[in-house]
Amino acid sequence: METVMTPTYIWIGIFIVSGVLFWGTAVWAIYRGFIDIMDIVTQEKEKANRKKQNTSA
Amino acid sequence: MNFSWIDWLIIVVYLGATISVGLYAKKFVSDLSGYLVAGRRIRVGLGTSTLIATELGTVTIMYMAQNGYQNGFAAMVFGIIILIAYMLVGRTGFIIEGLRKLRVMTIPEFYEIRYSRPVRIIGGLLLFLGGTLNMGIFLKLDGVFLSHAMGFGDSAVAVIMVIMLIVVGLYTMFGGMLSVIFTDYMQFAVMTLGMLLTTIFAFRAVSLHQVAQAVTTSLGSSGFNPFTNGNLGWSFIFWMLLSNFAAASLWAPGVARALSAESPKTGKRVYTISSLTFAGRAIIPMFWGVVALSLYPGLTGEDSMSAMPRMLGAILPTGVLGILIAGMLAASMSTYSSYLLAWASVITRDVIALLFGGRLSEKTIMNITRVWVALIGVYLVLFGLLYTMPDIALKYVYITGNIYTAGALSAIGFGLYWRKANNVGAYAALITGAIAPIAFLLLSGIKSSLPPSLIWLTNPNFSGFASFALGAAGMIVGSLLTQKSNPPIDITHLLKEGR
Repeated sequence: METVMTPTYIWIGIFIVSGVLFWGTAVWAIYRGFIDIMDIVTQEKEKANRKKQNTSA
Repeated sequence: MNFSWIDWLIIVVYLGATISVGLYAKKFVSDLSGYLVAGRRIRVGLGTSTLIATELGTVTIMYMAQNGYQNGFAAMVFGIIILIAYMLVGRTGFIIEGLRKLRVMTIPEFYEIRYSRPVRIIGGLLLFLGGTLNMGIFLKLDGVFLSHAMGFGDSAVAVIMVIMLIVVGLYTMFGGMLSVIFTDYMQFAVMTLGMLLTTIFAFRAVSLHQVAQAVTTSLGSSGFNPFTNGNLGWSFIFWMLLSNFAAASLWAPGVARALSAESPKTGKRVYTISSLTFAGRAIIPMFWGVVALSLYPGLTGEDSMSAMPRMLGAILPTGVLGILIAGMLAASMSTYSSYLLAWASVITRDVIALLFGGRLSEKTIMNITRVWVALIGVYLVLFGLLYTMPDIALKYVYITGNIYTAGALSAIGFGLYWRKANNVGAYAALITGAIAPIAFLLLSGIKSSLPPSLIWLTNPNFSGFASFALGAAGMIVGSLLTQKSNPPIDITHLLKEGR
């Protein structure tokens, strides 16, 4: 049976596009997600500090 | 076997870090909303990474790769379908925007607001049934993956999976959604790196010509054309389009991200951005499956599932294998944690708490949810060890999901966008939507003894597609026939002003 190369190239093209979207979005989400996590942690620490100050006052 | 002490070290360090982060997040949880929806303060970046992590488990990689192995490049059409489905939900906000506006913590809560409490209990039970049956094969698929990629026997895998479940169960039980989201984030980063390295090594292992030759020899033209492929075809494509559209808007672990978002708009953005990765989520492991076909042709049934992990064990060098296994464990843990929390919170909040007539305190509900996280974990171990795998794992995953999504798509979709949807219509949608998938699961076990005239009932493409049609018909007919005896509840003001 003759090996079919044209559809292989088409599917590999689709694979490359989906790969670029996947890893491109992943890098963006990892960067932005880190900022979001640090914000939550900072807010929680501030909340805890305020609670502590109120209790000691 | 490539698995060395360096790989073990990577896994141990990674697991230690995950547990620490999960337990660290626990101290930020003080009430039920903090536990179940992370206090509704998740922004786009974090929401996106955790939504992708939740929907990308080892089980996903396994059934996608198996599909690539069995159907060649043609299987990749599934990636395009799932991209379209999630993009549509993200752009339109179909269902997720309405649910977030109503500030519900679980999907069945909507049933009580729009219909009645008994509908919520039935909806909750069906969601729990479909969800836990769907999750049942996760452990087994993970076991197959680990045993072949690491080169250990199946007995060692069971021990590893139990340890993994204990780890996930612990931080999910105590830390709730915030722990899940923090650890999901870490797991997403490790998994993404593992997938990138694996793809590079897969490309190095075989040439494109070898891959094309293997697909041509094993599958002929059906390995390239999804429309002429016997396992796929138009019915599969339509069923998958509907199923993924329903799953995107209704599947509790994913929708929990929209419900945890800081606003309805953020929820929509999380979905839109995440959808960009959903084609890759399917197509990347499918490509690994196609590469495995060129290295280990001729495997059928349950054996076809082991082709991809066998290929990884053979082509990945020391260190890279450790990163990938850590990534896969990461992916499984993020999926388990989200799913455990989702199904435990549904059975607790939407069934048990309601049967007690609202007399349970928030703290008791949180504790019962924790007990259910543990119970579902035990069920997973038993189901994974005792259940015999279906030939096509992807179709099993979707057909069990349809038990819930087929009826819920009509009950919630019509409930949000059709004023005439009423209590009777919701009952009819939920029950008729579940009939075809349950019939499929029961009949496919006795397929050989069925008369030829009933064999069509064991076709998953047909059952899956029929379940959505039956669910919609149940809602429309049930509602229209009973408008006077069961007048619909109007929630327009709640959607406009919020709850």
